[in-house]
Amino acid sequence: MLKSKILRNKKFFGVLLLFGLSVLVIAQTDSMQSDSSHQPVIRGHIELDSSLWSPVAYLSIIPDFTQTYYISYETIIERADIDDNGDFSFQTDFLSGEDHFYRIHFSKKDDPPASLTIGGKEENHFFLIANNRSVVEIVTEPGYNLINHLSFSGYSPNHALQEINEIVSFLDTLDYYGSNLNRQFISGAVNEKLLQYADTCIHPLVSLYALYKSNLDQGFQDNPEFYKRYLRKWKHEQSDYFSVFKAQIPWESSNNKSVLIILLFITIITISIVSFSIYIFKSRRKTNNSLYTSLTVQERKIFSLLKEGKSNKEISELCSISLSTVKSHINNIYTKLDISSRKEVMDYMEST
Amino acid sequence: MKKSIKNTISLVAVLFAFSSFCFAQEELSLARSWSLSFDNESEKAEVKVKMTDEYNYMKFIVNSSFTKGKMLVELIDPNGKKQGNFTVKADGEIKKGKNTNSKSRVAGNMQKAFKHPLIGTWIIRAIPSSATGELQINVQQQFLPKIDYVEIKDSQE
Repeated sequence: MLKSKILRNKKFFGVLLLFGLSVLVIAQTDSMQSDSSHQPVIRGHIELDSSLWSPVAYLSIIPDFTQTYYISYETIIERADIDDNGDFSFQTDFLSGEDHFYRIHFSKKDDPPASLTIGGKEENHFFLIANNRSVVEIVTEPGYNLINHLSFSGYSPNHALQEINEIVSFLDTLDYYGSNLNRQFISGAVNEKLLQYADTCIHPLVSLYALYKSNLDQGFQDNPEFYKRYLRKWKHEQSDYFSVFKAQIPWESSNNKSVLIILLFITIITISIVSFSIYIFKSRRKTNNSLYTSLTVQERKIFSLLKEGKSNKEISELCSISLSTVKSHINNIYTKLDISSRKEVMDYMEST
Repeated sequence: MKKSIKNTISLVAVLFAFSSFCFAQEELSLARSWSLSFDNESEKAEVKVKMTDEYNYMKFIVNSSFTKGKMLVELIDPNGKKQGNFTVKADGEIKKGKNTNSKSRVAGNMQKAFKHPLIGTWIIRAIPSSATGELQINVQQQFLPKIDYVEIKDSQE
């Protein structure tokens, strides 16, 4: 009885194990399949009027948020043909490993490839965040404007980016005929929402994008504490996006100015001290020279022999004069040069 | 008989009043344009547009095309706040990709519309840096009654 119960339990655990293993194998196969579809790519779909627009999409890098609306051939890093179905794709394996801000734009047939239209029904671009591992899919909805509504799938920071764009576009699409007070109230609320987004967002680029979309100049004046706190939060961010932002903040740039002024002051002081030392050195040398010239020919000869370390006796022999005369000359030399020992003679200026 | 004459006169009076109102609406629109040429220019240029309370709608259309140098275009409101900007730079080439159109023309266009724009002087500032090219500026100012507003919004959507 007991034996059959154990046997039944064993069978049950065996079936359970088999089931677990099958689930594991299926999950593994699924993940392998999804990995193969996770090749880094920026893929999109747009419906263009082929009589007006070139069937090409251009990918540009935006190095910092002050250059969001900067266009040149230098910033265009890739182009992709748009097929008859309106699909295009960029291989992104050559992009940076770090997240960067990019722009995709389309050009009209009459316009050069580097053409940017901001606002209106022919606004020809949109922005996204990507790196060399991300998969980004974009679908634009056709309508009155070239790009009516964007929807992103794949790399998640782009969803947040789109949310910010929708918050900002709320101001444009708002149908009201109210007073200035109403409009100020609504634009203040939108600004507040953007600041809140920037404050709570965990992705640095998205957070900064929200901040740039807010009323930045006014914010620096009205709420400096917010920006100080914001900088503390992202103090480890070393990207150009944050460096340029820091440089834009009035008190940060004034801090930098103060540092520059201090450095300039130190440099001036150092230069002054060095110049003064050189002056003293030169004037002393000049004095020494003038003192040296006061020596007689014989005294100069004895002075040079003293510098060579000769003894009184050697000098007496070399100059063919008595020892007492040598002593007398040496005393004169000491007096004229204002020195008191042979050591000072040795240390006396090299020019002598 | 008298009554029908009275009614006719009233109707004509109403129609007359309405037509004069319509004409008055049409008159309240102003469109101006400027064309600026730059030949290796580095000197700043400004176009100033005065906004009065006669109008409640303002639209700026800036089109530019440059073959050399750099051009920064800014739209500044009467409070000194930047309401839009773009920069074009020529003399470059596409770094990667096929069919590069090197050292070619670049184009920058901006369209900004404001309902109830700020009263005062609006400035379109062009800051060139050894730039060669053209800048076209069109400004429309209008007084739009509410019904026109709705029409414009619908047509844009």
